[in-house]
Amino acid sequence: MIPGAFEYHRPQKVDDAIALLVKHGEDARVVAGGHSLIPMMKLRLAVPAHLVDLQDIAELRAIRSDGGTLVVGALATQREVIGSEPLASKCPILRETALQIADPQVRYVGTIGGNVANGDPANDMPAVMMALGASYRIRGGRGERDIPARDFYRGSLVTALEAGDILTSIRIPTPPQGHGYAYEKQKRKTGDYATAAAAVILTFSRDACSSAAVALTNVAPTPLFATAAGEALVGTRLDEAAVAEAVRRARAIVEPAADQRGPVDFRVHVAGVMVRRAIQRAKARAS
Amino acid sequence: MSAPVETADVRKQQLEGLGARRKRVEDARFTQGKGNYIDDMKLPGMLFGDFVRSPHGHARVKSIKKDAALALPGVKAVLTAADLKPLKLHWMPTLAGDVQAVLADEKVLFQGQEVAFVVAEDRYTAADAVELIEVEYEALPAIVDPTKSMAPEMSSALRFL
Amino acid sequence: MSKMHIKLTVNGRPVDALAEPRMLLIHFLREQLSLTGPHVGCDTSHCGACTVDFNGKSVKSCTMFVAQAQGGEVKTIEGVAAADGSLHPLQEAFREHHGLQCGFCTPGMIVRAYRLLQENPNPTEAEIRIGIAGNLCRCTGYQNIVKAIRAAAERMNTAKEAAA
Repeated sequence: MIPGAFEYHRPQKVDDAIALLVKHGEDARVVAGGHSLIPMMKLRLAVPAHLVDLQDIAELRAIRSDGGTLVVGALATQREVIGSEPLASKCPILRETALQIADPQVRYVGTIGGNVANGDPANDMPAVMMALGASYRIRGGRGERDIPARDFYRGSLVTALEAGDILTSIRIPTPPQGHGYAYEKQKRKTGDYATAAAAVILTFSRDACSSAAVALTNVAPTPLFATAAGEALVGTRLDEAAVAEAVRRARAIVEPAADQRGPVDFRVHVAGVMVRRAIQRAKARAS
Repeated sequence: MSAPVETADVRKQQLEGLGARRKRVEDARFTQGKGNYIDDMKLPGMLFGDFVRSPHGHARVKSIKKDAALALPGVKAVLTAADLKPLKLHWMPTLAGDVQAVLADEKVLFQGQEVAFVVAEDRYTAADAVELIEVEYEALPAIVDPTKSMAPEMSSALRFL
Repeated sequence: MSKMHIKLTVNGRPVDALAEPRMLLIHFLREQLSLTGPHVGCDTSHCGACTVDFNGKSVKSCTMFVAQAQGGEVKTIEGVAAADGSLHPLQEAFREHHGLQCGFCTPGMIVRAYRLLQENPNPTEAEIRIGIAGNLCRCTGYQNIVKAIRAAAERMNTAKEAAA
């Protein structure tokens, strides 16, 4: 379990990192926390000849509230997300999700950018970003652009990132005060990836749901934004009929792999249960 | 090590009878990282080994190319069953009373079976050498259902040589 | 595979070495610095036997390249006892409360517990269990590990109050 050899680079600025990626093309990979990439390198499933370490680039770490948008730097660690006061008060689903990722050591080092950018369908944050309607700010060879999370994932480990691109920050429209939220994750043990997980963001007051977004983790080659499931809740009292319909619609779009976490029909079942619980908890939290 | 807290008399008293509380003698070392486990051993001139393993559950080994691995600086040897055969070490007795191939002998019998053994000066070189060894396999059908393997017509398929 | 010049601080002492950037921090510590306290357990980033304290964070050193540690500060189990050799309350508590059997997970467990008590000097049993979720033990079933950490916390807090 020894990684292949590489040349190591530690740029101080984003543009220097991009220049390295452009120069070395397919032979270069960025490393943030490294807790997805390094295990792959140890198995020699990833053998970059050039490793571009982003840890010194200060502008990638900042977490801030910018008017109606929360800006989370790509290199912010899960632990920093958990400890962030603005995020805890304005977008608490992030903290709830981060606490369910891996274990304390991984959370000290693993970054939110790495979690959303590498296209691993087992990662938790992508579905949350889809539910929040977040977008990813990408800087690369052709300048800067924002890509909505809902459009970012193309396949397992395949995203909209092009050669030379770096995710610099995640931009989240601040959810309305009193919004309901939940990230429900079923896993075999603490720290495991999800057997199935669901993220729900909704607004519900005076017995009416005015907006709802549902997204799913690890039940398809990409994270899934369950558009129809969210639509089933809008305009309803989030009563059993509405919830059941949302669950039915979510189950209809999942295509989980059969693996150590269970056979296909079990994982479909768990996906439905996670959607149900997430809606119920989000409803209870909404005001 | 911290000083013992009990006097000799107290300890002698505590030695008597069931339920006497005893501290382990090894914990002082272990809690300081002085455990001396096998991988902690460091001997002068020590070498490191690593294995080439079969990705196939059942296959014929047609050829093993060692040259690139042997050319890597720091690699001392690349062993296969062919090297062990003249020394009659290629099959060894097990504690179950049968024999087991030390390195795959012309055929691979399980996924992960050791096909070649690299000896090198450090574990990174050994791992790199493993990547440089080219093994040509002819994949064979593998029976993974124990009930099917007991069928009468299967008995000839379970011959090892 | 050219080596790079690595400078960092390990257990309070400056280290100046040559190593390939790809060398995992765990191997650098164990093989180049002969600090065999942290262990390679699973090699798949799960078990935490390799846990060290890096720049004030609990880190699995099997999932980090020594190049990434450039300029940083590492504390291993060998750096947990005081400079005069007196044991840390955690080390004494693990011994007192039988928090180990084979001892293989123990260095990682104690180094993690050390940081946990910095994060939260008075953790509940539940907080301890969550706090050591990145450290697996095959022998003890964790009961006595949790007791040991609780006891160490109490002792450290009592000492802090007495000193205040």
